[in-house]
Amino acid sequence: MIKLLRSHRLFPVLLVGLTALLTIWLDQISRWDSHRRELDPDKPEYVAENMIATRYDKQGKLMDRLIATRMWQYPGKPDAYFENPDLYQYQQGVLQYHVTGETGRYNNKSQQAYFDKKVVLIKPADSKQPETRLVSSAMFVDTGKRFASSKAPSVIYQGNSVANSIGFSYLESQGLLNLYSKTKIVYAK
Amino acid sequence: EQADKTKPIEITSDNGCTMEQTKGVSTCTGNVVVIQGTLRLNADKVVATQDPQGNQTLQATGRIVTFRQKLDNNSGWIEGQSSKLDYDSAKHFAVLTGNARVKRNGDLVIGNVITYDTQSEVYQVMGGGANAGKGGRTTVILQPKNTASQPAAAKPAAGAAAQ
Repeated sequence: MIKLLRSHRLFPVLLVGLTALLTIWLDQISRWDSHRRELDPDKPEYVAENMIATRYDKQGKLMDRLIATRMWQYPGKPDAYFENPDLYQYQQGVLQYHVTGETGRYNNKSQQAYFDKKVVLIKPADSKQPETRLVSSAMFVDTGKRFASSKAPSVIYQGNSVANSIGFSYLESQGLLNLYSKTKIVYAK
Repeated sequence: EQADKTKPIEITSDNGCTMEQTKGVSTCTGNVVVIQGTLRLNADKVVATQDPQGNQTLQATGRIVTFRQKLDNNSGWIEGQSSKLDYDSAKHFAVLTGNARVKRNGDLVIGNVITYDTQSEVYQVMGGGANAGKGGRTTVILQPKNTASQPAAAKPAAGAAAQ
């Protein structure tokens, strides 16, 4: 009796399971995503020439501006790549510094940029200090924290004074410049 | 030399420097060498402060801080050493503190604090060890001047607290 009952109840459950599997399988093989075109990961998904990208803060004031002769991005990659990038960063609409290089890349999510070849970071003079100019062959810039650093030989100009070092880190928001390893500073009035 | 204070100050160090731009203070460590004209200073750590007019004050510390500077009119060199040295290039003043010694053309001055005016080339020595308060011995050794060959050099002012 129990055997009968068991097979009597089991069969419908089996049937439902099989039907569900069949439905899923059919759905998978019949799905055809018209939007996804298989892109070549080594070729840019899109390219922009002579671009100026400007971003504003909540009060509508200038926040940052990126100028480049060429910008491109690869499919599915977070970084955008630039030729001759020139990144300006503002605070309450006032220019804090700008960075130029021959090439560079920028990650919009992490707000971190990397500049390469003849990189110059310029912090304009203000009431407290003369212009500061950091020159290096490569520089990492965290625009969120307003922090720049390099491991390469660098030259720092501040007014008439010059400093040379192998690597530096610069917390621009606090005017704190750390020169690493062998350093030479020449203070001139 | 007089011209030293108009020359740029060059600071080189092995372990890098930290520059606080808003305060105009730079701290350098590791075999620090400071050169300004003929002045040469060696220390383990140097804190350089630049005022808005660009004048520099240096504070050098270390196991032993040494400095050497050429005197005007080719009258030789002055050398000094101590455990701390404060140098103000605008006021042309150096203060050596802690086991201070200054040697100039054979003259030797030893005390706890020696102040040296790089313009008038006058130095003043004070005794007083760390716990001896105002007192404390100073030593001044003056070489006999051979009046024929040597021009009259300015004598060091005896220490105010020499005992």
